Amino acid sequence: MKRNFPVAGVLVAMAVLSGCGQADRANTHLGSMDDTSKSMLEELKKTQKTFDAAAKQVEAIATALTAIKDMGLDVMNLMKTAFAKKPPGGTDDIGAVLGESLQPAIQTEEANEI
Amino acid sequence: MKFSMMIGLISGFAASNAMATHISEKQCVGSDPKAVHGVFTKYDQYSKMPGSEYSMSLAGVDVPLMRWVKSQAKMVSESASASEAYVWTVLQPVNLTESRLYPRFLLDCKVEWQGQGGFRQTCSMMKDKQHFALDDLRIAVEVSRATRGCKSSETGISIEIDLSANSSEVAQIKNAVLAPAGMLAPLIEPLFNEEAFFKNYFNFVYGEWMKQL
Repeated sequence: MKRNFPVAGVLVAMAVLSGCGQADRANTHLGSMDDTSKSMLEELKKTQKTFDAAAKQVEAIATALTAIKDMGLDVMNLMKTAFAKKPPGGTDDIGAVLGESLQPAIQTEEANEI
Repeated sequence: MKFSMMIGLISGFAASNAMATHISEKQCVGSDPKAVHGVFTKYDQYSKMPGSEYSMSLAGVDVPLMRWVKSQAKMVSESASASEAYVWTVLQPVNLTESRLYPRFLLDCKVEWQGQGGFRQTCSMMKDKQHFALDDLRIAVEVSRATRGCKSSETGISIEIDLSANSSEVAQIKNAVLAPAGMLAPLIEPLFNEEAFFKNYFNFVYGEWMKQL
């Protein structure tokens, strides 16, 4: 069965997003920044601005997704399905990358997990 | 317009814009340089250390962005004052199982101690070896007891990272990541770009490492 997609919702969402398309993105994790000097704090302020911009963008996307959800689409289920954690595929080991037959001196690989 | 076409257009636009990124981070930590060295040179443990998994919460769903899935090291040389190791790194973007699209690179990491007071670590991507998604990556870490702005009991850590993403390869990752999202793809597309995959990721990784110190 073909599903009707709420085009208006997407247009609204895209309009919301267009306002923050140029925003800087950054992670939301800042380490402990106590006891830094004034010069270091100045640098941190700049970093904080980047993080703030990223947070605003995520917020805008979340708002847009909520708008679509309100129009009847199961956004959360779609997101969960699309981004369910999956184990990594196999990749070359360091020996192959270095072009050597010897095993690396140290070697670990994270076990597959879900 | 079909969504796949929209994604294609978006990706095409991204492909025409190569992006060089610089990350600069400075912190004062309570641990001594030796402890910092212990964390920053655990090459074979990078994929298991705090910060290896970077995700964001969106509309109540935890969206994984990048995960460090493989870190293998081969020591080239090691002495009391210096060391060199090759570090093979593989990252899994979002939830891709198609490993040919994984960002991967071999780093040549060198450490030089400057007396007991600190050390310098430099890691450079070996461009003549297998790599994907990044064309270049250089990491310089300065660790010193006598750092301006830190207390005498603290250790200053300065991290400078320069990376250059390969936009066409990042566009391939993006297409694969967005494909399962179907009709939501155009909406969430801004979340997946070079900056999210690399700048924010490395910022997060080093931030988490320093929280241990």
